Amino acid sequence: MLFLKEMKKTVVSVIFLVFLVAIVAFAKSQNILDFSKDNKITPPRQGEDYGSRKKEVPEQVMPAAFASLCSEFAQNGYTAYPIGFYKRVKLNGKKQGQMAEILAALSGIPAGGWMNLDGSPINWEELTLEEDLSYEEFKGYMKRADGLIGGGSKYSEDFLPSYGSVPVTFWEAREEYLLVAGTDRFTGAYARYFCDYFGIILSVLPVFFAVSVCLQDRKAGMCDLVYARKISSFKLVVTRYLAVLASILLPVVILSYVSSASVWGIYGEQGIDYFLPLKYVAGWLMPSVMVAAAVGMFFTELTGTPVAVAIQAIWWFVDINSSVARIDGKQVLFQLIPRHNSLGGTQIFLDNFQRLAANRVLCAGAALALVLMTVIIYGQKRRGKINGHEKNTKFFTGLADRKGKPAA
Amino acid sequence: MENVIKIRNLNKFYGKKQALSDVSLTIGQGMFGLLGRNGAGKTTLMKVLATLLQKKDGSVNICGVPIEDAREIRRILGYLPQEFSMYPAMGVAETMDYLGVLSGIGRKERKERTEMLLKRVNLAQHSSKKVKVLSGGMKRRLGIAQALLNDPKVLVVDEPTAGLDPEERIRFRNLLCDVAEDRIVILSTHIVGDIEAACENVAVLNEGSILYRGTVTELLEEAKGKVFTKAVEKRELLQLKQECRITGMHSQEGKTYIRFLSDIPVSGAWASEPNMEDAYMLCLKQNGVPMDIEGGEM
Repeated sequence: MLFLKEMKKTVVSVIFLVFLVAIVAFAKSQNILDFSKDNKITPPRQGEDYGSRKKEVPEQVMPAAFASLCSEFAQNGYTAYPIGFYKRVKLNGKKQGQMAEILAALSGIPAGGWMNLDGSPINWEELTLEEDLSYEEFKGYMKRADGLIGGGSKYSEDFLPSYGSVPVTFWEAREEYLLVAGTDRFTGAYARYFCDYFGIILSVLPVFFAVSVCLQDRKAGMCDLVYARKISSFKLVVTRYLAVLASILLPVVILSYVSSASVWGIYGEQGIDYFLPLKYVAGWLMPSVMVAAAVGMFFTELTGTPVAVAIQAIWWFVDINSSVARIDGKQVLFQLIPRHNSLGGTQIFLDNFQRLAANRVLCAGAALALVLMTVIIYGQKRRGKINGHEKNTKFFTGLADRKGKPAA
Repeated sequence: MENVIKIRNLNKFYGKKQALSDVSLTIGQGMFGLLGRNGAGKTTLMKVLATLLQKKDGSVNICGVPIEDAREIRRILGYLPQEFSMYPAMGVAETMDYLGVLSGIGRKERKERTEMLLKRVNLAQHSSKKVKVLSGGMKRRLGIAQALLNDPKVLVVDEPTAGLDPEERIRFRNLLCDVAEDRIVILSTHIVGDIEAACENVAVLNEGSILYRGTVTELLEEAKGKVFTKAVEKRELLQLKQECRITGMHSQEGKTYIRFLSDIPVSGAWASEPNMEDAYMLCLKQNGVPMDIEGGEM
């Protein structure tokens, strides 16, 4: 009964209306509500171009990475993504000198031999790798170069394989297709694609709901009326949390089925899994919603302010930028937004499944821990033991007073 | 379970500021008035009783339940805060139903009590109206109705008549007297008239300390022979203001009549029957409370 009442309070609100408009507009703009046009996954035919895939081929990686390093060295401008954000690194004289030593070792030409008679650098395209250099030695130098740049550069261990690629063979394309048809039963591929996009917005939007729910009593002047009731803090906070989750996930489930149903007609005869959208929303998206909502509730109850919006927005921003490197479906344990920005890629999904599952469990666990801490804080507030809002109001008023006071 | 509230040596601090100082009271069934100026500590005491604030030390026992057992206290206590509102977009009956759910009342009982209480506070015909369209008086009446939802043994109402027009105030007081027939009702107010009209027992609180506890009649009795009225000129008025504590003043037929407290008869003044305001002012005077201190609500 309380759950339905809390859900009604959440759903009958401007914020929910804005949320609905936002997710539908987002889904439409990313073309993930209707896959029926031009998105059919078909079996490969002999003689087609099946595209290419990344592969760490030393013969490709070494010259390409070396050429890139030479070019960046000449400009003393190195591209890096240390925490997911683009950064152009300029080295000081000492470090640039050390970089020159690395290039000298890689090319087999002493640093002094790189200059023309007029002092200008020689044409980098003429500089080649030393023939006897092994791939392991090369990687060692690249590691040193990455260290000088500060990490996250185009010579890092993670980035190096992207210099190489091989064409996908018919058999590989066929194997991928069989995985999509067998393991994914087609709908899984579309559900993953849907989740990739929705994971982005559902990792931040729920915080607005949670903040709104936690502030509504104070805004309405109802705090004392609610605090003085018999209901336990656990029941009230958890019910409100569940109502927020349900209010958010219900339209998402509906949209996931709208998206999935758009291809049922195409693969219907091949035994598609009608429950997969639900499973994906529950397993992939729900932990993101849980953690964003929990951050919202925890920090709002703790501080009595909407600071949680800023906290979650910063976390989201950092994570979305760092996720660029794993956009193809590589998963890591500590991530807010799992990515898989391709239709298919079942093998990558399977290869990363354990890490993805661990990450989702971690997010859900962290969310539950935050909710439990919110229960404790809420209980303390009901007894007048803490009052985050009052404290913060005093803090900010104090700051304003100090600002307004003339210096002694 | 005895129907009595026992407060013993209750202390409460806000940081270093002492809000309640060794407060001891025994409150039985019926209307009990807690009188004091703004900032006297009334709201703090009400909130401690409603389990919304922690005491520093001392003991509070409500109908046999120690205050530490907040869940049980909340089951037997109804609370109308001094400042409150409700979800503006919710209907009157819907608000009652929601708060009833939070009180753990079953669906059938909730429906019955909501209907009965809205009738009792004259809001039955407004049950589908949204809270945001209610007048101040109607909101207060809804407030008392929600406080009675769980049929509490103890009803704590904090400054319930502040801001109401005279008609609403009388109606509200009568309503409180009505519900006090079978429970403890604690009425906290700075409006002396409310206490005089509605309460049998009273405590006067000032700066966190109890100055008086007893019946309203006894308080009035103490003021007998100490209240005088005199017709004065302007010049004399200034002098009297410095010498005596003035409790009332009015002009009639070109003369100014003042009502004041004095331990001894004053020449030209005649003794008057004390009212509750006189008695309250005398209580403050006897306890050395200066007149010009203005307190802030805590």
